[in-house]
Amino acid sequence: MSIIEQQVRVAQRRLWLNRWLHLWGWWLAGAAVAWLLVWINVRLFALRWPMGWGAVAGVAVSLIGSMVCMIIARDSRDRAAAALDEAAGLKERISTGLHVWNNSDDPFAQAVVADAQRAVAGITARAFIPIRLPRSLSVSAICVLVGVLSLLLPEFDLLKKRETRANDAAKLAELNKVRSAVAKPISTVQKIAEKTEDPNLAKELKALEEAAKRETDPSIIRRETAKRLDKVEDALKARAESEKFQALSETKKRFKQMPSMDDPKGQLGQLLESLKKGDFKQAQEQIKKAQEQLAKNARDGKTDPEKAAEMEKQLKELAEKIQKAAEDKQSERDLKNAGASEADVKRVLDALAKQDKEQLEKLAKELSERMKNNPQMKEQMEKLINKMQTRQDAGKQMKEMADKMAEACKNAQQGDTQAAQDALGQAGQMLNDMEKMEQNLNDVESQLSELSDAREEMNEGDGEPKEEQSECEACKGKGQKDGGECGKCNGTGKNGGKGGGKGGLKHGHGKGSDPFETTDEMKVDYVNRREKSQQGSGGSVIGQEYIKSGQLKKASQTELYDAALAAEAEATDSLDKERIPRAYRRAVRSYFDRFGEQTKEAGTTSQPAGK
Amino acid sequence: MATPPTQVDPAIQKATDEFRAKFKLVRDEIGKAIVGHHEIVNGVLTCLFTGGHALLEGVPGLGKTYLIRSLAEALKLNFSRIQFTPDLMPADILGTNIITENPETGRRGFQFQKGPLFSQMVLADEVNRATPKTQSALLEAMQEKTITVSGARYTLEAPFFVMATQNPIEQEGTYPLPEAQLDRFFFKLVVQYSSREEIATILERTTTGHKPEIKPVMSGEQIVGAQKLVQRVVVAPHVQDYAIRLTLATHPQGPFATEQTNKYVRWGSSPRGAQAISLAAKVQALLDGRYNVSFDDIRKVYLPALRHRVLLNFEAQAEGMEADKVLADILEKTPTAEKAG
Repeated sequence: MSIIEQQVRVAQRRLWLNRWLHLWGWWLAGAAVAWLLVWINVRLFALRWPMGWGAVAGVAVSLIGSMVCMIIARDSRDRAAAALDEAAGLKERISTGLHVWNNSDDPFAQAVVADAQRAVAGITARAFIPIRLPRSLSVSAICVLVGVLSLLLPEFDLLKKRETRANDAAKLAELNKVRSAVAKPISTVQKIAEKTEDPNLAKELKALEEAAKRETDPSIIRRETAKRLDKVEDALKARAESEKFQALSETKKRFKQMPSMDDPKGQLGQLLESLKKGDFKQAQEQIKKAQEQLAKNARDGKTDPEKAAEMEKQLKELAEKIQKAAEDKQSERDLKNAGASEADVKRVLDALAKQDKEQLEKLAKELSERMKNNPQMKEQMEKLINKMQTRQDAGKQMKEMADKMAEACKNAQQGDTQAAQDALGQAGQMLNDMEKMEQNLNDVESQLSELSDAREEMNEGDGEPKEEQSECEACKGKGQKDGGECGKCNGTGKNGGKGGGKGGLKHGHGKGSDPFETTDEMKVDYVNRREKSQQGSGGSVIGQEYIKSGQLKKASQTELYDAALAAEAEATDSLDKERIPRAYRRAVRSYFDRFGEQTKEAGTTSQPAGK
Repeated sequence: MATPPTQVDPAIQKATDEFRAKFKLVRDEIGKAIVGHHEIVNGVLTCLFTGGHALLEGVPGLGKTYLIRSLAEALKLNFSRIQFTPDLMPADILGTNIITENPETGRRGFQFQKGPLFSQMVLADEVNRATPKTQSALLEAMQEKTITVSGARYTLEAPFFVMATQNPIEQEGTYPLPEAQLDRFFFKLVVQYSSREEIATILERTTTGHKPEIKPVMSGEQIVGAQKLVQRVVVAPHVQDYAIRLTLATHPQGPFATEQTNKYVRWGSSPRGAQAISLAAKVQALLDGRYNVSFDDIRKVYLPALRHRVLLNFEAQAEGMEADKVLADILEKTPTAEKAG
């Protein structure tokens, strides 16, 4: 490469660089101005555009754009030579020499080239074509500076977009929260549906999942979920309250009410204790032990007559006790208390004894018809008959068991230990069935409990907590004033005690919007008209009010022992059926257990307390 | 790509050196008689070495005629001076056929009597005083270097060089040169007043009986050789393009016309203007010791080459605008290289 070419190439690169810097300056200034205009709009209208990336893109576009423009308008070699001529004051020697070098063989042209060689030997292109910072870069620097200063521009939000965006975000957050909250109940229902293989539950589950996915309104999702959970819960409750489970409960209750054996520590005494505890598995073990004892005695052939007699006696006592527990005296009393005549009681009890359901239904209908003027009594009668059926079923089970015990006793007395063992085995089988049924019932109750937990979990956080209430000024937070309940706070001791809201799914402190709530005072119209009224013993009832009064002291017509057992049974029912909150179950159960033990001690130490 | 030469051909080096030396020699000889007016002398010599004709304009008494006469003395050329007057006829300068009688045979016949134009150097003094008819008689001789009279064509001896003078102030009884005639002139040189020092020198020389002795230093052949050498000087395309754009810039409404061109120029330069620029620039390059023309060379010769080829309009005349101002504006506003992109 000749010296001319070298210098021209250097000059050419420098020209390219200078040209690119010049172009980049303008491109950058343009990009900065464009960014600034967009930024002003962003601040005016509170737009959420990625301006950081926009700035990066602006710089990138300016770089690429200036490069492309430079490439398009780049200086040719001839132009670079002319520029070098001009810069070095070489009077176009280099450009002319470069042009004629290979274009002409004329000696004069070659003289031009030689002259150019001589001229260019004394110079360097770098010295004459320096890299200059063009004015455009200064302009772009000013634009960029203005852009940086514009970052201090406050947000005006002329179109109120920020508010809308915040609302949308809050809605979305609420929706996500609700969706995550309903995920647990859905999962629970899914588990239950898989376990029970109930098509109705599967249907409800599908509807639940679709509602959670489809709906965008959190309140609708909550409502739909609650509705579906109610349906599932109702279905489970219906299962739990089915006749067979109720009969099982009744049976357990009756076992519980049974008095202990004379020798509670004996083999069959322990069996009875297990039955009283409702521990059917333990009871089965006891029966099995009794069977083994019988078998051992028969195998060894060395039966102790005293022990055999003791065994027979215990079997007999157990059979009698079970037989007695199987008897249903409560139904007769209840029927009488409900106002049924002696004849009706007899008919009902006969039907119950015969297990004639049709007859029972007919009688229930008949009695209900007769009591149509008294709707409360009618409902009570229906419930009573249902209850009596349950008792009858339970009684039947117990009677069968008592029969097997009696049969075992009889066989043992006759020395047929094998038959006695078989009879005991059948009784054990019955206990086994009861245990399985109890297991099923426990499963259902467990599912209900899980459902309840899931529902509670879903409701956690729903609604906003009420503001911390200050103390009531009138009672100083005590809730009482002048020896009675504070009238201002209704005994709560809190200020503004009526502030509870509606709408939240969680009971208690939730506060939400009530679709039926009106801010205006409700208008009330009073209409005078005559309505049908109930007939009481003193004439038509035109009003009813519960009042506080003193304790009514009167002679009790129920034996204390029975009354206590009934109360305990009722409490157990309440525990089992009324869904006492889990947190209180243990306390309630221990209370009634203590109460039952005291009653039992009173019953064993003294005979029923007369009246 | 071939290796570039590093040494100038000695023959070319010698020729160019001789050119510069002769040029300086002639200029020095003229300088013996003419005080100052270096640009005018250079311009006249440039015309001489390019084969062009010069038009000198200036008020009376500035030494125009004396300059040309001095030049004629410095060159070994046939010189004739024609004083143009209103009654001067074409035949007076071209020559005419006259009837002559052969003394031996007694027969009479036409014989062409050559006029003063049949010289190598012609001084057309006060050329605008003659009628256009007579002025036009110069056209063929100046352009074609031939004269046609009565169907006979006569070639003039090279080098042929016309130098005309005209007075710009006495307009009464004058006939401004037609555009076609003006275009034949290579340069129009405007002779300015002498400076204080120059006048002092003139006085010293002319009032003391001093007679300058001007020696002929250059022959016709040498001038023709120099003219050929000038033509070999290289003009790069971008330099030539500059000259072309400068010429085109004198065309009103043209692609390179400036604002003043559009406003004041009625007719722009012909291609002869670009030719004049290019050739004159070559002389400048040789004088500067170069073998190529530069932008500066073009700029230097731009005004004398084009000032008489630009015809201003009425508005320019009304505003007192001169061709030189318009051309200076063009020179200022036309870039040497066309802007990229």
